[in-house]
Amino acid sequence: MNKYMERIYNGIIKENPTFIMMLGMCPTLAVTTSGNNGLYMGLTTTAVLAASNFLIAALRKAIPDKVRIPAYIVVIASLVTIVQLLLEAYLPIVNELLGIYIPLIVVNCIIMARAEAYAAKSSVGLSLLDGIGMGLGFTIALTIIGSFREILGAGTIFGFKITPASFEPVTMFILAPGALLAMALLTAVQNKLKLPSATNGSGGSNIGCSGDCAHCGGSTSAENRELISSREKGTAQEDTTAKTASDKENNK
Amino acid sequence: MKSKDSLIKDAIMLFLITLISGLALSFVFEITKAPIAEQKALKLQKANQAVFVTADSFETDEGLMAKVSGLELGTLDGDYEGITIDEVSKALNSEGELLGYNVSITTKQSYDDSLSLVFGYSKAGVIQGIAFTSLTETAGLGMKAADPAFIGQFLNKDVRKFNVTKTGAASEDQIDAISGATITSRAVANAVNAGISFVTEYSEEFGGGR
Amino acid sequence: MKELIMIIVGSALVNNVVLSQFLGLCPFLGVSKRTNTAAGMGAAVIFVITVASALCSIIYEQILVRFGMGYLQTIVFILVIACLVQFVELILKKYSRSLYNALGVYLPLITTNCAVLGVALINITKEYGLLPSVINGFGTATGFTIAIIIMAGIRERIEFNDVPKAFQGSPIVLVTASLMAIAFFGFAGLSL
Repeated sequence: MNKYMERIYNGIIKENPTFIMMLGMCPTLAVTTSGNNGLYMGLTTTAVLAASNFLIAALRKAIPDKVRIPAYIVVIASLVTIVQLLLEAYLPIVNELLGIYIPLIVVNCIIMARAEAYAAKSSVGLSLLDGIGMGLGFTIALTIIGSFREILGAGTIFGFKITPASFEPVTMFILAPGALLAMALLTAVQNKLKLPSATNGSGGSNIGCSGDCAHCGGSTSAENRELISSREKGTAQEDTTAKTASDKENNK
Repeated sequence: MKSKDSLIKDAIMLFLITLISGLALSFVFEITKAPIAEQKALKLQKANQAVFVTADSFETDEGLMAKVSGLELGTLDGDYEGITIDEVSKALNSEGELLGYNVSITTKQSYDDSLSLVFGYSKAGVIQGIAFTSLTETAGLGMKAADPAFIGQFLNKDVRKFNVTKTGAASEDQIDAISGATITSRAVANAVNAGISFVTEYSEEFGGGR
Repeated sequence: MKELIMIIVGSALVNNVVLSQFLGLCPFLGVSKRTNTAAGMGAAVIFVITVASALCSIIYEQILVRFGMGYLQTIVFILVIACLVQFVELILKKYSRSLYNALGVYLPLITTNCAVLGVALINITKEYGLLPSVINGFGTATGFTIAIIIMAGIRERIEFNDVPKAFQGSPIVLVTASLMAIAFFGFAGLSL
């Protein structure tokens, strides 16, 4: 397998952003009310991710280290707006379905994380492939979660009725609580089967980015994380929290 | 001195990146402006056609639109607070005869954001069809408003004012609420009622002519 | 006045930002291990979101709309929020050491909290003016704080419970969040 294919494989399987790295939880839970929505959101994010990885890799020598975070934000925000305008003009249905979650792609941790952790240090071609791989991994995950919720919650898949008439859909699964429950079941299965996941062994405090999306790539507020975890250490009555803190360190 | 130089250099770089991004954005905006407007017009056109299948063409009714501006629907009935009429157009047949009106309405009474719909109201005083031009309610609950099971209840009934009920519709004017989405159901019914009462009270065709 | 109260009830309880819109989920799950840290995070979020809604609303209405550049909203808002957070941090550091100690740690975590950008964008899609925007921002952030503090309280208790092995860690947290979301569904009736 050459190194370009390896990036795709890495994004879809080895470091799948949703299932394994647990990044970008907000869109994952919010838009996966149906398989279609998951697919559209995934593909939109893929487009932004591939373009931002490409641009940031191309500009990596030009962007001064000190102002790289604001520079990335500007690049990503512009790309998101461009994608939004294009969707509005040529695929209005997608724009309507996803609504406010399209501009919110700007703050999707995956994009910042890949920019910081990969694109800032790698060649243009590899970064582009990395973006596509990660994006596809995200798309697949969202489509699977969306389909799962749609089958249980509405008895349809991609809008087609598949369950027998005797099946009464569990509407809760396409509502907000169902999203959280579906995610809980998924991570529980991962724990049970000891599949690789950011949630295993870290005592639960490491979902997503522990409140700090920008950190995902090891950026600005690493100190703050330490501060918080040391505070938690102070108030914890058991050693478990200390273990969590050290796990957090390991996960960096 | 050296650190100051690099500070200025950093700032210039950041400024350049922002400037280029801004230019790229305005470029894309200019390109997509026309298609976006076209899409919107197309959507309204399609919705207009869908809710009044017997009509051949539609044209904005300037006379009624003039009455719309400056009219607070809330003054007609307290239930119409937050509802606005976006457009009233004449539905014409191939000979240019008036068959009825298409009314586009936006209401803020819905659960999430606002919702917009178009309905066709024939001269006989029955609703020909209803289509949503914007519906962003909760998936699985309010979104069912677009299902024929709910929206079909409004069609082909000689009713001036619909009421939403949760206990099973017993008469013509009663509409079964979507279960779990009473707010959306009421918002839709009120929007339709507001449109009907506007047309019947203000259009000369219906003997209103206020 | 009635309208403003509706906005605040709606944004804080009925459409709770975390439990029904899934904005700001990362901090909600990540910083909810202890009630005191959760309260700190909540306070910082209230502060930042309220100020950010005001600023974004002013900039949108006075600059972007006036010059027909509404399409720049996303990029402008995210920069405004990033600058605001940095600025607040600097001010607090210099003038109010105690407040900085209480909130300072959480501030950088907020820049990329999608709830902040989310509220600014929602204010625009709902066509709120300045005052309703601020009220909506404050309500949303209060909703976030309520949710995160309840969550932290529950998690402190869960620690002493016998959770099935596969559900230990994040799954039980997500199940808790799911049950809270169901509870918050009960507020839907308040909307009318």
